[in-house]
Amino acid sequence: MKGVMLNRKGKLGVCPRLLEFADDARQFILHNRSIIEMAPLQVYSAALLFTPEASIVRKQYLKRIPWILMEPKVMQKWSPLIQILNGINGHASQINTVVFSPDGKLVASASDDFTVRLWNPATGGPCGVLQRHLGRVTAVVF
Amino acid sequence: MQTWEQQKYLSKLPDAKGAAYNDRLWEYEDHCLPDTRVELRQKIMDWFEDPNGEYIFWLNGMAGTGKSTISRTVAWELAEKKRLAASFFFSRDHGDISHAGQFFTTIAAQLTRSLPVLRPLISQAIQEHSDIWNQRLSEQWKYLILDPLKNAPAQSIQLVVVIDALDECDSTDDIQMILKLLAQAKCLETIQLRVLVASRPETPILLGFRNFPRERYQDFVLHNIPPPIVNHDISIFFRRKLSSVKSEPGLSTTPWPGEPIIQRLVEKADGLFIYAATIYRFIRDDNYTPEDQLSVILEDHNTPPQSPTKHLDDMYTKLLQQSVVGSQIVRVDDHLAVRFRNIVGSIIILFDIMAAKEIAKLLHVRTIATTLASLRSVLSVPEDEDQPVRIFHPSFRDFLLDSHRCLDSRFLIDPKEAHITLFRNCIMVLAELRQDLCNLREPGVSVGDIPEHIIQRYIPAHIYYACRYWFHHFQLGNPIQEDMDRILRFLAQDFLHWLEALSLIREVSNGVLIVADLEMTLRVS
Repeated sequence: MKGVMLNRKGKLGVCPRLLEFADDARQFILHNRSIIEMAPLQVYSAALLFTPEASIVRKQYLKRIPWILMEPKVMQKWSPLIQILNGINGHASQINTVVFSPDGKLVASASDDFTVRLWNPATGGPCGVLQRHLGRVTAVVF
Repeated sequence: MQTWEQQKYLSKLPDAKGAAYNDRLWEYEDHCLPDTRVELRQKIMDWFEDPNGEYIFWLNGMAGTGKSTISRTVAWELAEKKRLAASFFFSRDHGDISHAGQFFTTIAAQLTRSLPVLRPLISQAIQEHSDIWNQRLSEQWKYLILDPLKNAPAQSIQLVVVIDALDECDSTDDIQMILKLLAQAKCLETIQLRVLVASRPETPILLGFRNFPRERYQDFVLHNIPPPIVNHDISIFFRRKLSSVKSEPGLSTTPWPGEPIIQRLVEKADGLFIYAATIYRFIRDDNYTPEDQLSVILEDHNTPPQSPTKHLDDMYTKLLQQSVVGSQIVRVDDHLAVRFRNIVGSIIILFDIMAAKEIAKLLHVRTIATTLASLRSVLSVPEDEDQPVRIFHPSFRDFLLDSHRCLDSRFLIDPKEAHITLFRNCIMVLAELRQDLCNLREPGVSVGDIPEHIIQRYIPAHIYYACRYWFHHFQLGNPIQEDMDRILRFLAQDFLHWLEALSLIREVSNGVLIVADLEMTLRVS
């Protein structure tokens, strides 16, 4: 498994396999961030099992999980949907507005659960909750 | 709110390790000797006592002019008078205090101890703004510090926050933001907050101050103090410290090494206190006689064209030649020099401090104790092996990394080489990870239910370090082809183990950023 090919100028070249692997690793961690954050060993079960068929990470590691007899049916490729802002660690109700901050470093979501939540768009991680509203929040601007 | 409930909230405040002037980390750092820096210390005391004084006092000085020693002494004096609000000593090689992330929360945490009337107000703020430490600096400053001070029961007093080495904070944007926010302390009327900032005169800080109206701050330029005053202080230091190195009772009435030599040393120090402090530690070395060490220093060299750091560089060179290789004859293949570059080169570019034992594990060598033992004049090497190794002064790092200053190539550190070496060592450490590192067995165990000591036992400092920083070293190094293979092997064999470890040390978000940056870096290389 060679990671690098020398290109004509003698500069380092990166082989397609390494690039594909890195891209797949990025998808893997983005899609599974919240479950991995909660439970370390879910890396090898929930995260891996529900990873799309075509994923390199899945192909590379799934064979190492001895106790799985039948794998669940999963999608072929990574879905463009990376994260859902309600549910566990998110809003408890419908979301009405989502907006980026002017500098692009923050995302705010306003919900019927009476809160506004802030998110880091680079990691998907939560950055805070504004919870002093006394009613459904229908709009939010920076 | 009940006291216990306040405590519950206050204990959540991130409190940066090593920030306070009296932290264990700074245990063996010097204070100003009595009778030195007299005028300046008086000026600082006058400034904070004056109810109409400026809000910020900027102690501006080049490397080695004694800023940190003055900050530490002043912080201690203020604490004795119960006028110290908080202190934050930045240091670029220490995790928590190399960046601004925990700056305001640490100041707030210290305020709850120095000014207990603030406890209910600050704990209230934490309750109302859960996650405040993840929010912007401006919000942290407003809710944790400014508002509580405004609303505290009236008590007219000036308190001081001492901030040392602001230039070592890793983000220039954050430096300017901190200065901008601190200037808002002007609006405080009853409890007035004054700020003493010490730093090198670096551009982001100059720019930060340029935005202030002149009447808001007072500055003092250490490297512009007239030479006779500085030389006077340095000669006091030499006289007092050197006579204690060698006292021969009854032999002589004049203290060692005598006034003419002291004057020569003062001349060489050329206004830099770090020169004097380092020479003192060098001469004190138990493995040599003080006379031999002194003669090494006094020996005149053919030195290159004048530069402001000439004497300092010359001293570091002699000191390394004596302590590391025991000779001035340059042979680059010298194995002692190779060992020096490997170990010291790593220490000066590590992103966080570690104990000697942990550094050895990270570098995959049996021990680094012998190399460190010969460098006690420039490195702080605690007897307690669990305490971190530090460089005494940033000028030593500057010197080693600059080919115009470090002219003996045996000691010159190429940062790109040092980074890639650390990357390779980190990758080797990560290859030692395995599935279910903490023997949890149950896949459903939540990270919050695992006791901290278990995580620390299975993820000791060098593994923690490798998990966090392998990629940063890769990015700053000059990789060769084999390094790309190393990354591919890592992705194919250790990627999931690494994610498991990140979950255990609660750094998954950093992992997301690392993997995104990795893909980007590979794409453009």
